[in-house]
Amino acid sequence: MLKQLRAIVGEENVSDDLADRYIYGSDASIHQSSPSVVVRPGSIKEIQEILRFANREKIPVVPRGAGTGESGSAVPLDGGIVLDLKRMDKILEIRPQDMFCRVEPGVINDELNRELKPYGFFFPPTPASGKVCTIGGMIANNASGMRAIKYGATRDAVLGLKVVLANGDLVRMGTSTIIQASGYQLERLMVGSEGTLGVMVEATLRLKPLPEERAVGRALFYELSQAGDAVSKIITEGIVPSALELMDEVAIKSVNKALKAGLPEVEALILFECDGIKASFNHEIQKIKKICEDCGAFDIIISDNPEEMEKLWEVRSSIFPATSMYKEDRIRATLAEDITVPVSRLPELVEGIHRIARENGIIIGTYGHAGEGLIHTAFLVNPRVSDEWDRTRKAVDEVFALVQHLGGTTSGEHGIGISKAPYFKKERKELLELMRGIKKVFDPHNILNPHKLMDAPEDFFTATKLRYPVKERR
Amino acid sequence: MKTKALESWEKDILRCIRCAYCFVDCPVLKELGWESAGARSKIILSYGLKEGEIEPNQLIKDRLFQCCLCAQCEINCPAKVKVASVVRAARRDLVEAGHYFEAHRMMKEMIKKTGNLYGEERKDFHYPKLGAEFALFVGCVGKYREEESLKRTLELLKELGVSFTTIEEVCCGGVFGDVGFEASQEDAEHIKEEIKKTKAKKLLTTCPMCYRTFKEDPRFKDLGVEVLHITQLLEKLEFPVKTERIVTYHDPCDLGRHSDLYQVPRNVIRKFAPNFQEMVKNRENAHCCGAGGGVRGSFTRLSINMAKKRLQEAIDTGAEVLLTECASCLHNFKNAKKRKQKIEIYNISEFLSLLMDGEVK
Ligand SMILES: Cc1cc2nc3c(=O)[nH]c(=O)nc-3n(C[C@H](O)[C@H](O)[C@H](O)COP(=O)(O)OP(=O)(O)OC[C@H]3O[C@@H](n4cnc5c(N)ncnc54)[C@H](O)[C@@H]3O)c2cc1C
Repeated sequence: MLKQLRAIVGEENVSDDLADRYIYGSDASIHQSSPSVVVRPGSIKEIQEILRFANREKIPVVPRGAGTGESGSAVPLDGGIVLDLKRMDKILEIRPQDMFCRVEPGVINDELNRELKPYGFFFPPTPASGKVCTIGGMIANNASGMRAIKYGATRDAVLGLKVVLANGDLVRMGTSTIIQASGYQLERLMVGSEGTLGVMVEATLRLKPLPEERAVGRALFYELSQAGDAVSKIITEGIVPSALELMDEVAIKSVNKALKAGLPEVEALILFECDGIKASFNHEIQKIKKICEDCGAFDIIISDNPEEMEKLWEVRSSIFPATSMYKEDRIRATLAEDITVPVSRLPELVEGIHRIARENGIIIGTYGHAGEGLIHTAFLVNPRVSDEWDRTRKAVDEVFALVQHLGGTTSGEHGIGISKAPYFKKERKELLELMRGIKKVFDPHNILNPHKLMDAPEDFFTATKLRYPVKERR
Repeated sequence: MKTKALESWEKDILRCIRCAYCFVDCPVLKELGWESAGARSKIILSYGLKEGEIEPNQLIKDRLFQCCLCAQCEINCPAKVKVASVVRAARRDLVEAGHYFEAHRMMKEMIKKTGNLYGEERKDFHYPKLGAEFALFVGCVGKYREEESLKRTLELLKELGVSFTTIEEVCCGGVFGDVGFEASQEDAEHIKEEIKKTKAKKLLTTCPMCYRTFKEDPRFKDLGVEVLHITQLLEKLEFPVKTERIVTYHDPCDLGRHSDLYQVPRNVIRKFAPNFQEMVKNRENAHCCGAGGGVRGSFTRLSINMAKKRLQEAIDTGAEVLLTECASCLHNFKNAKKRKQKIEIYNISEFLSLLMDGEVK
């Protein structure tokens, strides 16, 4: 296998060394499972040849961007080839007149936005991991972020794709037009496909004009339920902020530790942002402020100073890693992570999670894109204690049961991968066969990221080695 | 492999959430491309070694030594993982298990023989002076690799009337902790003894690495004198000269990220170079020159490639002069510079001396 791969991409772009196999066997999830070989292609042609070869030999192929996925979607369960796409990082074209750009899959979100800025446009999904994650990974996971409430998720920005199929064929899906009604929208099917249907090698992405101005606000609440109510009321009023975020006490304390942020350590805070033209959003901001006050908020700050706004947001974008600093012996294990419910059910969700944490004697921090009904769960675990993992797993089960009870979904933005597959399968019970049928049409030999999504193992916890030194495991 | 040193960094290793924010601006990753070369991976490899999931091989060793310890990753890490310290510990364990680089082991031997890293015939800059205010420590790189520049620095001190005395130096040993070896206690005692002899109350260093070593290394805990980097002294002095040329400044990692001296050198430059132009990446986000962490000795091409990139960033500011205050950075930049590149590169103190003598504009 090495010989053929080297012939395709060159010696220096293939490695089966233990160092690389170990590294490319993990992402930001709890999972660890090594590939047999890592390949770094530099062109579409090379990718086609690799897939032709792998398809013939029935070798699994797992595409990989930056490996920032949190549910193990880039972890190669069956070994095989990991296809590191970061060398393909060119922005091919920016066409503000047509409101799109064309990029290779390894382009990094923030770098694209840096290039777009002078044109007065931006690529709207704003994942907190935007400084490292790639466009390919974003499309495959349908990433989004805090601005999705106004600007949508990655799926809303994908106009067209070039995809290399399992058999090595290159196909074009979608268009370069803002709208299309030409039959099956297969480019949309690729969104959220998590590397199981094809390798995306080029994307045509819809751009949005950069809002001229914005303002950011922060409101503190003594009680979490007050913050939940405020979020619901803001949405009900018909206000569309460009972001509406919630942080609980665990999240607040963590960023205080990590960033010395100096936030008052109350039960909850919300961050909100409105953008556009000052004259029009000022009115909205004031309305939000009033709602927050009515719900019991205090110490409300509003700013349109760029530095202050950045400071306010820095707090938010640092929560994920910062939560691992909450308590000495605890680390943040990426579990559940991005559960999403209809916005009106948010207070119930957040309170339910805190109850589950209490009942199981563990710590779960909650924060997230409240305006989208999305809550991130920070499970803080002592990784060496197996009993703690047992209680954590039970809590994860209960959290997902609650989400389904509230009419929500397993993943709002990070994807399913391995860790969330059992719950996804419950949620989409009646669709699993249909999905398997689709997979078969695209990938008859099941070489592309096999055993993920509907085909993933029933027990995520034993599906792979964990990347923690758990003492005993059941 | 036994991992005694890594054991004490377990908390940091587990705290890493593997978010990869440390990929941003990791100069080694930018050069090598493979994820295994990036900062996050160094934590993962350390974890693997510690838990016995992997055993060292050539590439694992290479990856753990392909790091300038520039600590840009620590700035970017929201979980505040002490990446450079973990890498140092991993190196310590690797070396303990016999996985060292010959170039690094040689340095140890050279110091035993000659008192300097390069094993060169001993050079002593003799400016002995009794009752001087400062004992001066110039370090190996300046003395043996950037001698002309160092001489200028000493000239400047004299011209400015600074009361200093040289000592009989042996290497401060700072580099050894970086490359997995233990630094010599005996050498430390010698240095302390030499400083004591001068009766000076302050130790003046020209090299940021030496500065840091004297400040942080437990071997120098009982040094008993105040340690200053030369920029801290220059900040307090006035110079009778100015340059109208456009000048930029490169933050040495040991001075900036590791010692938090960002503004001090800028204050010095402001006194004589009104046309100062920052590089896009500056202060805590300044890209590394590629010389540190033992990389220049064991991965020379990698090291020079990093210096080339940083030099280009200096050129992109439109500056005619690139200043720094570190013999290592200076040396790497000079090695990286192509003849057609017009930018001039100096240490601040060197440039000032040349300016005062009218040898540069
Ligand atoms: C600190 C942190 C914060 C985060 N914040 C957010 C957030 O706010 N919002 C959010 O949505 N996500 C977030 N994430 C999750 C993650 O960053 C996103 O899912 C991101 O889109 C993954 O991109 P990546 O390049 O790292 O992909 P990877 O993790 O490398 O891969 C993800 C999936 O995409 C597939 N894939 C990658 N490239 C291709 C391709 N070219 N063709 C086909 N399949 C491909 C892989 O096979 C895998 O299934 C966060 C993660 C971290 C660690």
